[in-house]
Amino acid sequence: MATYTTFPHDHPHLTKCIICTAPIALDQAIPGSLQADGQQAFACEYHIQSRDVWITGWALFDIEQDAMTNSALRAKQAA
Amino acid sequence: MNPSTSLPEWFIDIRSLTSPEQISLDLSRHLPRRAAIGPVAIIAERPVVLLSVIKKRWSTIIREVQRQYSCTLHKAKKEGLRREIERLQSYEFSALSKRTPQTNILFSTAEELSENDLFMTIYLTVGLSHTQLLPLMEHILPYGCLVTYTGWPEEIEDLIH
Repeated sequence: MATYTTFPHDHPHLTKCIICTAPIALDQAIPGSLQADGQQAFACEYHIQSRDVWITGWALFDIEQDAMTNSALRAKQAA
Repeated sequence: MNPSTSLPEWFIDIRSLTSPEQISLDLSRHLPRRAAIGPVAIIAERPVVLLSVIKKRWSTIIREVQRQYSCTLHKAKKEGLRREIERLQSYEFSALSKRTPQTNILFSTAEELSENDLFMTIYLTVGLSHTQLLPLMEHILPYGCLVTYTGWPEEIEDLIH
């Protein structure tokens, strides 16, 4: 369904799907929210067609990333 | 390019959908992920009409997340879905003429955006020529994303390369 691309168009970067953890090429990935370190996170493009998987997968991912951000903040404050 | 990751500064997501129903469905499913990380613009030929369609779909999504929340006993999943519901209910949608400082998701035509408008994500639902697209790209924040439902002219890549 979706075709994902970046500049340069044929960028060889492989990424990981946050829902099924499979390695994916950017032309088969959809950008969603961000990782705790501010990097762009991606999911396989076909997951968006499954409403439940898409919603729950990203909701779980976001909460994990928030927990990582909070724990990094606490460690920083403790130091 | 971002030297630390070798990922590009912009992400261009080209969606090959054509019917208005498919586009509004895809957009409303993807939008919560992008609205969470920064301001969003949705460029449409008739922004007010699309606003009304997306708002309707948004209510359906909220009901769906609430249903999933009620059905799960998994603690982390439940917490994730609870926060998702809170987030979905907190976003402010607006057409340009009624925007406020709280507006997270702005519906506009490409021409009506102000010079200082910057977004993490722009959804493009109307076909623009490359000379119209280039100024639109200037409204995208670094590491932001353009999602286009109307293809991507080759002339732009030639210009950038």
